[in-house]
Amino acid sequence: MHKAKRVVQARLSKSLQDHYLRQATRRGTDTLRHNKEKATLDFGNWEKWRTAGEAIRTHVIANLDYYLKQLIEQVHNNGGHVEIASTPAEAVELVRTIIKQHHAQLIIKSKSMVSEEIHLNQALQTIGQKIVETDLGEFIIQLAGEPPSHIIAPALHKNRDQIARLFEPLAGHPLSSATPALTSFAREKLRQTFLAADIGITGCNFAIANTGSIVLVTNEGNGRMVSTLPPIQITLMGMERILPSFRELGVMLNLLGRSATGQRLTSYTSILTPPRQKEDQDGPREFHLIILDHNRSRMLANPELRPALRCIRCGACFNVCPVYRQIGGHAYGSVYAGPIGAVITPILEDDWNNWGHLPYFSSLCGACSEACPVKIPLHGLLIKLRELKVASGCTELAERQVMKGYQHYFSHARRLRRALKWSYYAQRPFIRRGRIVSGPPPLSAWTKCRTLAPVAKTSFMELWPMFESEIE
Amino acid sequence: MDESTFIQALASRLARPTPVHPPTAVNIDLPLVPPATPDAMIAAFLGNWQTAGGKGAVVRSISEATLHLKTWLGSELNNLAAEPAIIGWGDLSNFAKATFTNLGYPITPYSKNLDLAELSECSKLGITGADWGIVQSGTLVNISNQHRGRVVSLLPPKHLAFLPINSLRDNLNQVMAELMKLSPSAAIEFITGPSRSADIEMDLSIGVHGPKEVFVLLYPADLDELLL
Repeated sequence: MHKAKRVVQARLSKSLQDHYLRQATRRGTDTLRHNKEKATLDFGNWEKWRTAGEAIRTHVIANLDYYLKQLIEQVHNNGGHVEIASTPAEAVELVRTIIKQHHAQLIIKSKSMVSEEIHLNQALQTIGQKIVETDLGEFIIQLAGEPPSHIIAPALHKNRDQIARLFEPLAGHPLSSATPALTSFAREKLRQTFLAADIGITGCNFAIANTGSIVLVTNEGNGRMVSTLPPIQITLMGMERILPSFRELGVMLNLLGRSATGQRLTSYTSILTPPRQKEDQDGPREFHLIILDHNRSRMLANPELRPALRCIRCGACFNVCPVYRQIGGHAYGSVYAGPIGAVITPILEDDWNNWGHLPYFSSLCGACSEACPVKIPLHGLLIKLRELKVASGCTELAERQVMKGYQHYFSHARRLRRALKWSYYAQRPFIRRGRIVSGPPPLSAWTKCRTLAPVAKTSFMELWPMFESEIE
Repeated sequence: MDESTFIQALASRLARPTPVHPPTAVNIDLPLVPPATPDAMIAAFLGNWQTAGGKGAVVRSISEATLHLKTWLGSELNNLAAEPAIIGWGDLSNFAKATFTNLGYPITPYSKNLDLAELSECSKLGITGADWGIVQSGTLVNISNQHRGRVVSLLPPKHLAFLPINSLRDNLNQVMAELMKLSPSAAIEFITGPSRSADIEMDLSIGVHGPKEVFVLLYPADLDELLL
């Protein structure tokens, strides 16, 4: 546990010292937040749309088995294949099997958080399989060997000079760091890759139960390339990313584009029902849908945690979070950062030792819950997770002792009064200009960074009889 | 994991058997903008399409359409003479075909026999129709089929769509309601402006992978019948 704590502190320290990352995170989240505000105001009746989004997603999660069963049947009817993966390792193995069956040499991928969750790139690269990210942001961070720092702007932390240096080895010559030059280079380089690829791997913004369709929401067009040009398509889907029909999709697309980037609709929204039909001129001939559980069913089993499954991965909660704003995505250490990442990661990973810190990456201000287009009570869930972490016994000795002390004093009035009196005198050596500025551990952990108000000479409990008579 | 075991496991997590009948759908009662006049719809569609980065115009004759294309394409027209510089759907409307005949440039109908690498290199303009236009977002909706290659609106650096005015719908939900009546094709593409990205320092750049420029010509549907 101490090792895990050191790792977290090292990550936090690194992020806090990275001035560009912090500046870029502030700028990026400000832009996305303002775009969203504008798009929702223009739209009008946003709260009614959020309520509809919440109702739809709650309904889907409450009937998840029915809709997944229907989806699986429809994909089979359409001529596709469905595979279920309980764990990330199983999902990776399913992808590897398909690659092996087809002797595929080159795999291309559009943006997929599930592929990040199962660490697909690393797993395939370990066995010498070439896999290329095609979303510009993902392409950049793949070259840098880094995880995404924002759910919809994965290379938010990179500046254009760093990106030019990453592209130069591929170009074989120096590159201008102007955005159009970098974009143009990526277009040319990746176009060749799209045309040569054997398999395209996509994520899944939504699956439609009654048609067996997959919906991709993108801006660059790489999602369309990946799902159109290679002869085989694999789609990775978290098991909760489903909607009953196109009727509900209309509502969710209105919520997703506006919440994510402030767009009414993204440049491309593709409703795909693969494989291609017999007479079609293009599109994949073979389609595999891999549905991942990875402890989502644990969330499903717990009615208090179930609302987290409503998430549509828009990233709106990132853009309002004061903690994310200060530390950026990498400090979380998890694939999913921000408030939703802090909620789902400890459950998905089923590991309080390494991920139990995440529910504390929050000021509990509630801005995330207000921003969520499907009304997930994120800050309430963070409190619930803290409770679960304590119940699991995965807390530090010092924390347990402090809480025992708290209980000891705060459960008896006389004992508390005596302790406050004693504290008033004991704190004196540590007070400068009316504030506590230093102290012994564990107080020193606080005073290292900030000061603390001292214990008053006359406690509130002593003053209360006077207030009480005034009130009466 | 076996599919039925998976579904049973989920049902047990939900502490009940899997429903046999479809669950009652959620009531969606959302305020929608009242229907606008046809002229207001056209103006709003073009306004939103242009906000998304596209160029568009209403045309009522082949010569008007030709004039707009000459203005938009400018000197690029010189590069469109050699096939397959212009690729198009196999079932383009009469108005679209007549416009390009008048312009004097050949359209290569897209088919699977064409070499994609060559198309990617040589095609400069992709021409499609559109099943619907969504006013509220400035979006084109294209349903793929055997005559409508998906790459036509994707590979070339420019995409031009011919949209009959009577195919305008106010909002996405109306289009979804119409799509529910059809059996789904392999791809339904909603296109709202050119390919874009803000992945480099949140700086907007156009034409990352898909078309860099997108154009729409809105025309009265009866022109197709007159040209039969």
